[in-house]
Amino acid sequence: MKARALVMVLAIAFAFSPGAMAQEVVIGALNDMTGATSDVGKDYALGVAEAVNYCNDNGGVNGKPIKLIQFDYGYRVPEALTKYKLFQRMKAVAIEGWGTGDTEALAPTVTADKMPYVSASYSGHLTDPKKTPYNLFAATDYSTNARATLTAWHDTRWKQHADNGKRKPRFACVYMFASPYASAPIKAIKDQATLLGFDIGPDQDVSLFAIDTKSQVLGLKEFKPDVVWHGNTTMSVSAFMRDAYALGLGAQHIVNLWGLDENLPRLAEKAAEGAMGATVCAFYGEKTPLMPKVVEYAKKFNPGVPSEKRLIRTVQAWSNVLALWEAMKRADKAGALNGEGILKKGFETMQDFDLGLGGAKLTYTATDHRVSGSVPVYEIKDGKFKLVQVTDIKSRWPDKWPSWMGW
Amino acid sequence: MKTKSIVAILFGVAAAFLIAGCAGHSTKASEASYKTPEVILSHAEVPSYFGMWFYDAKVQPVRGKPGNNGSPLIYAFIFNIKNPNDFPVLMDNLRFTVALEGFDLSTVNSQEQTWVPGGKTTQLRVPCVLGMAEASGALMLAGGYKLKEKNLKAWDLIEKWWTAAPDFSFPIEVRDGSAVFKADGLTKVAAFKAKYP
Repeated sequence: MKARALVMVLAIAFAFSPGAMAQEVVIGALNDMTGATSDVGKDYALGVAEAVNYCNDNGGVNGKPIKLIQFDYGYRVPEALTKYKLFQRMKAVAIEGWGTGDTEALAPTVTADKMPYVSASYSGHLTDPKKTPYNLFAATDYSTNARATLTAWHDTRWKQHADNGKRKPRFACVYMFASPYASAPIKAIKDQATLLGFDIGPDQDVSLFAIDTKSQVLGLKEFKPDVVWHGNTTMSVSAFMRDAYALGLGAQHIVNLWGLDENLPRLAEKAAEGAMGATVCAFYGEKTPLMPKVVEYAKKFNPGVPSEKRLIRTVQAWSNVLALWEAMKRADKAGALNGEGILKKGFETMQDFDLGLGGAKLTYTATDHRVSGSVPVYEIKDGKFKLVQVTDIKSRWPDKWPSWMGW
Repeated sequence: MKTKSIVAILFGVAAAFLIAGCAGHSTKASEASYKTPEVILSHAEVPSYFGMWFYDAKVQPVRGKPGNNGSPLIYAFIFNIKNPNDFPVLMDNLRFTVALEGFDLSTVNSQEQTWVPGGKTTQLRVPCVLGMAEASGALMLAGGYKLKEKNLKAWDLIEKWWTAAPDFSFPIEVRDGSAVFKADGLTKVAAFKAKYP
C-alpha cells in the first residue's frame, strides 16, 4: 500500500517537473544559405523551418514534437558529409536535403544507412527504388516535368502555329553541359521531342553564371528553333531570353523548374513573356487550400523578409516537409518510426495524397518513386504566372510510362 | 520508522521537483502581457584572421589535395537580447543574413536554446564563416546583374573584403533577422536589422 503511494507521488512529481518533456523526433536539414545556390537556397531553408513550426503547432508526430537541426553547407560536399555524420550522432530519423551536390554525394550513404533523404533535387535518376530507395521528394521529377512541358507546348502553341501541318516543329536545348542538375532530363526531353515529331537542333552550352549568351543565341540562328528548352537556373535563363529577344531568335521558351520562379519575369522582363514551364507546386501566395498557412507562417517567423522576396521555393520546402511529416506519422502509428519504417510504412503507403499546395497528389510505391505523371504547366502572361494545362503523361502514354522510370 | 523516513525523503524529493519546475515561473506569460524581446547588434568582430590567399586546382599543395581553396573570413556578431517581460523567455532560434556592401553572402542560424531572465539582457555571439569559392558563387549567380550594373568583378570585391576585413572599412549589414522566443506555450518573433560600423 505504502509502496503504491510512493510510486504515485513520484509519478505526479515527475509529470510536473520540467524534465518531463514529450520525446522529440529529430530531423536534420542541409541547406545552402552561403554558396552558389543561396539565392534560392535561403528561401527554401526559411520554408523548411516555417513548415516544421506548422507541423509542431499541429501535433508534431502524433504528439511528439519535431526537433529541427538545420545547417548551411555552402554547397560544399565535404561539409555535407560532415553534417550528415552529426545528424546521425544526434539520432535524426530523416533528413531534409537540398540540391544535386549533397543529394548525389550522400545517395550511397543514405541507402546503406536506410536514412530517408527528402531533397529538392528532383532528378529522375533518383526515382527508381531499386537504386536509391531512400532518396525521396514530394514533386514530379525533372524528366517527367520536361516531357510534360514540351507536350503542353506542342498541344497549345504548335497547334496554333501557321506552319503546323506543313513542317516539323524545331526544338533545341540550352543548358550547362557539365552541370548534373541541368543535364539530368536531357535524354528524357529529347526522347519526348522525338516521340512528338520534333526536329532537334544543336545543344547550346551556357554556364549557370552566364549573363552574356549572345554567342549561344547566334549558334541557334541558322536552325531557327520554334521552341528552346532551358535547363539552367533563373539568372542565366533570363540572360538567354534577353539576348534571344534582342537578337531576334524568334523561338519560344520552355524552362525547367529552377529557372522558373517569380524572379524570371523581373529579370527578363518582356523577353520572358509567353515562357512556359512545369512547376511542382503553386507559386508563393497563389490560391490553394494550405497557402494561407504558408504565408501566415512566413510572416510570423520571418517578419523581416518582405513578402515580395518570398518565392515558390518556400512552397517547395513546405511540400517536402509535409510529405515527410505525413510519412513519419504513418510510420509512428505502425510502431516503426525509423528510417525503414518511414519509407515502407510511411511514404510507400501514400496514394494520391494531397498536400494542398497545388502540386501533384503523391503516390509512392515499393517499385516506383515517381509521385505522379500529372504536371501543372504554367506560362508567363503580363509578367504573371498563369496555368496553361495539367499534362498527364502517365495517362497519355501508359504503355511507355513504366519504361521512363529512372532517367 | 525506517519506512516513514524513506517516505519523508521521497516527499522531499518530489517537493523539490515541483519547486524546481515552478522556479522562474512566478509570473506567467499571456497574450496581453507578453512583450516581444528585442535583438540589438552590439558589434561585429573578426575573431580569427587568416589573411587573403587563394589557389586553384592547378596548384599542387605541399600537403592535402588540390582544389579551389582560399582563406576563410570569419566574423562574429554579438547581440544584446533584451527581455522586457517580468518572466523568463526561451530564445529558440535566431537567424539573419550577412551582407557586405549590399551583397547577401550568408544566412546564419543560431539554434542553441538560450534562456533570458525576466527584465535582463543576455549577450549572444554568433559566428559566420565566409569562404571565397562560396562567395564567388553567390556573387556571380545571385548577384550577377548587380555586379554588371555596378561594373564590378566578383573576385576584385572578394580580394578587397578579405584584405580590409580587420579594418571594418566597409559596412557590414545584418538583414532579414528574426529570433523566436517562447514562454508558457506562447511564441513571439523579433525582427531585426543593423549596419556595422
